[in-house]
Amino acid sequence: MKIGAALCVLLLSVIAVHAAEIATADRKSGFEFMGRDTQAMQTDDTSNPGMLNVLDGGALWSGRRARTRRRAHLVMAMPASA
Amino acid sequence: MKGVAARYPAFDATAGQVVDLGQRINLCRRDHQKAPELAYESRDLLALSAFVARQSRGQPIAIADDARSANALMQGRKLFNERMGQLNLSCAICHDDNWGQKLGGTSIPQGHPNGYPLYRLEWQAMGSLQRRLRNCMIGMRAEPFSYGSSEFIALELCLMQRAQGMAMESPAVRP
Repeated sequence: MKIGAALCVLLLSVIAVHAAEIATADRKSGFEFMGRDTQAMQTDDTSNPGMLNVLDGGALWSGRRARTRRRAHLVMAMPASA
Repeated sequence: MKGVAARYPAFDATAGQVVDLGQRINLCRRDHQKAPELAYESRDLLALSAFVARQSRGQPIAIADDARSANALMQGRKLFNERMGQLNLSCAICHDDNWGQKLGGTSIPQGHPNGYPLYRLEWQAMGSLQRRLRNCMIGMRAEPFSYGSSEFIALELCLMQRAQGMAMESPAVRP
């Protein structure tokens, strides 16, 4: 009986530990779970497709929508070395 | 706007509730510009959110310790740990207990919201955190909450608080 209770407590504590939140030092961005190619795509602004939306957003922000949107796409279409 | 996206969702005194970045942009449009609100996941709202969030790249997530957000945070934590859907899973089962394991050939990440709005290769498009959460819920065979629902705002707040101090990456790229 006592052993059973002890086992129960032990099991519950294991479950409690297992279901705990991730320790601050162990937290990892989704970035770290990606392959190198996808990481490179994010890090390089000229290959990150999200930057097109950022440029669109900048145009909307300053109220220069159509013209800047055209220009933004031209900039993004240029080779990285340009 | 540096650091702003890293502080949302946050309590908004005018709205009298916790709002996320997209809602904050729409409140500004409505109250200061007398402009129509932009729809969730619309190209323009995602673009404006991305433009604002880009300025917080590298900044640590800094959710304020605000008593007015306490209820939403509590609701978010409850939702994060609550089992839902036909598969009877919770967010925590995958992203707290089994991160790093494989699911369908891909690694289960920790589920941090530090890159939104982001470009997802699977979508071939930009999308919000709420769109991603809807994906998760559909995967769990649960009925997804609606865009802008108090449940999603609470869950967003809980996730940002859980990632407190992590660097913002918007606009991130994810598979």
